[in-house]
Amino acid sequence: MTRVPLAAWLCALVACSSAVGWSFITPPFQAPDEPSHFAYVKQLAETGSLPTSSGGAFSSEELYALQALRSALIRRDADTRAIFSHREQSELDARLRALQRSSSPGSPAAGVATLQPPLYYALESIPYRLAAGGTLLDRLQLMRLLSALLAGLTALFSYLFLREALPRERWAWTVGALGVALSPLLGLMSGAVNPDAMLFAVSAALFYCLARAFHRGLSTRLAIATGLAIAVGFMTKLNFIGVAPGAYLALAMLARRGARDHERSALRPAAIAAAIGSAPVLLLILVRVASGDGRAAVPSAAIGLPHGSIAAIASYTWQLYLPRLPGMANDFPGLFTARQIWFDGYVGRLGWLDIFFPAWVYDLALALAGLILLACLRALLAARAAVHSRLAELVAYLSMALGLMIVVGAAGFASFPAQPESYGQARYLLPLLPLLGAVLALAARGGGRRWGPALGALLVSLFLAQDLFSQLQAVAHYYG
Amino acid sequence: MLRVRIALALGLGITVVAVAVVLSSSPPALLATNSVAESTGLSETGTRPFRICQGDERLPRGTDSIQASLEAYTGPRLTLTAYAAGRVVTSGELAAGWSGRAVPISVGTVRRTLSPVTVCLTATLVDEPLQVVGSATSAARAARGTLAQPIGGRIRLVYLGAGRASWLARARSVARNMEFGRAWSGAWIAPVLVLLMLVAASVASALVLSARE
Repeated sequence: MTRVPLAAWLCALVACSSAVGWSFITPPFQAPDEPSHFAYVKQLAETGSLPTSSGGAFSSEELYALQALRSALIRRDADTRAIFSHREQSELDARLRALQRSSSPGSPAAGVATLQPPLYYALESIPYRLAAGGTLLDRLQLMRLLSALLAGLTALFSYLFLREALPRERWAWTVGALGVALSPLLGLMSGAVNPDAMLFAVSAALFYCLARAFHRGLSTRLAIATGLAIAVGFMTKLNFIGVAPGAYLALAMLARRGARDHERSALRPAAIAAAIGSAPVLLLILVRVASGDGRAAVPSAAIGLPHGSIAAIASYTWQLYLPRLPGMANDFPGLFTARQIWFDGYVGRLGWLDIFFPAWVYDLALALAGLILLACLRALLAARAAVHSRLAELVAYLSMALGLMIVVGAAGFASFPAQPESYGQARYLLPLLPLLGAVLALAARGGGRRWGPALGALLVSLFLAQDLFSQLQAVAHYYG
Repeated sequence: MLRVRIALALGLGITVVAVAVVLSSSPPALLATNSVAESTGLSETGTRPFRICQGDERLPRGTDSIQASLEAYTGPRLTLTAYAAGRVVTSGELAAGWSGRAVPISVGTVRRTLSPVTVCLTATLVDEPLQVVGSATSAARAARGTLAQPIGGRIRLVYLGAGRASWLARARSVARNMEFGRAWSGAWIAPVLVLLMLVAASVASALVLSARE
């Protein structure tokens, strides 16, 4: 593997700075599902075992913190304040310390996190143990800082992905990677305790490995790295199940290309990558079969087995992203999901989705996004010969995106019709951030040799402004 | 290279001006509430079109947005209309896709205090049931649902208008609010946040300027 350029590290620094900022802005437990994820880490770090209940009966220490910080109330009314003075803060810290000493270890209940794979939580156990002498709030903050480092990895791998996928103009790599690094949703989620932070990073790493393989060929070393990225993805979050089939398709394409160009031994690296990548899943199935547990396919149970017909699931999933087709039952009456859930969600629905901008901001963002897409299309048209020669690679990336969207749709259908769009949150598509980086890089290139770099500079300042105003909006929401 | 410098300067300049405009503006101020506590969930709207009307409200002068205690995960498009003596005195809309409880609905500014006023909330395309929150009252005082039936109590309404103190004037109190209820509490939080944003902006700008062919 070649040396990582300084620019990639600096993009990582930008992403880390943003995520660390978000970790301080977001009050404890005000990021999506953070109480559940914290409970999982507590259980793993203190008992070495996995949580067993998906209920909300967290440890007494965590329940006290949630209650003392009025977490539920703040979600409903951001004007709520819990702690007003140094004296109250000291009392809170003293009480948390006392509860830490007196309460039984672990938290068998970890809410919505319970069925997630353990790798991210195992990693978070390190800062948890390092801050064991502090209060629960100290441990939470240190864990958030580890997540923030993962935002840096996401930006770094996005840069490397762009270097491989769009090799001609290096300035465009910076534009795309900075667009990723300054994404407010990446900052929010990576400034919190949530396995999404690691899923984004490992997905970006996988995109990089595949782009490198398509560009330079799949060596044995690269195959091992690709396999490890897939394996880590499986062990990080269940949503990775959606990304994996596209990755396997990419490996099959690479193997076919290698076999066509060289000889049969070219199949070996792809087989190595597939074997390493599948190892965690196969191991899990083996363990379950050996222990007599019939639930071999834990992931499907965890994301909620859909309860309707295939046609109903397909219709729901379609409408989760696209306008309803004739003949489909209306699963989202009154909502234009592509706009209101995904686009507006990405532009800025923060916190527990309760922080948002005035409506005109989303309209302005839509107009700007339209211009960005047009510039991107112009670049693609100009490079249509290159696009045509790399169609297989493009199909692989789109398969990864499509797979993730289908898994998110199927998981959302599990709570349908009670909460038709509860799984429709823009953050679920952030594993595709490297592709967004590619769109931005292409859009900048759409400006041509003369104006492209200047357009790139404007795009970077636009995303910087988006992150800055998102942070200000969150500060105003919680502390204004 | 000159074009890149100019574009970056333009982009950052616009951002700085926008920040200055935002910080010199005032956040909405609470003018009045209808003194109804959010003590209970009164009802759920279901997924059919609904209209809820609540009489005997007092609409303060200067009101430019109204919070109604309705809660949703992804809320529908809502229309709020206020009537006095049978005439519309102000109205506004909230686009679909909102989330949370008591999201402000912008309305036309109310020129003078009006009472009694009936406030009606309408949604025609409802994706998920909305929780209506307030306090239980007698049927006579309760808000009325689509078929004019009492919904079990009164909804909390909050009337907001233009504030006087700008965000900049409130900066110290905002910074102080950030000190507490977290790890490593203290006055350092706000300056560190500013520093982190400056680091991100400086590094990103330097990268853009140094990335050439």
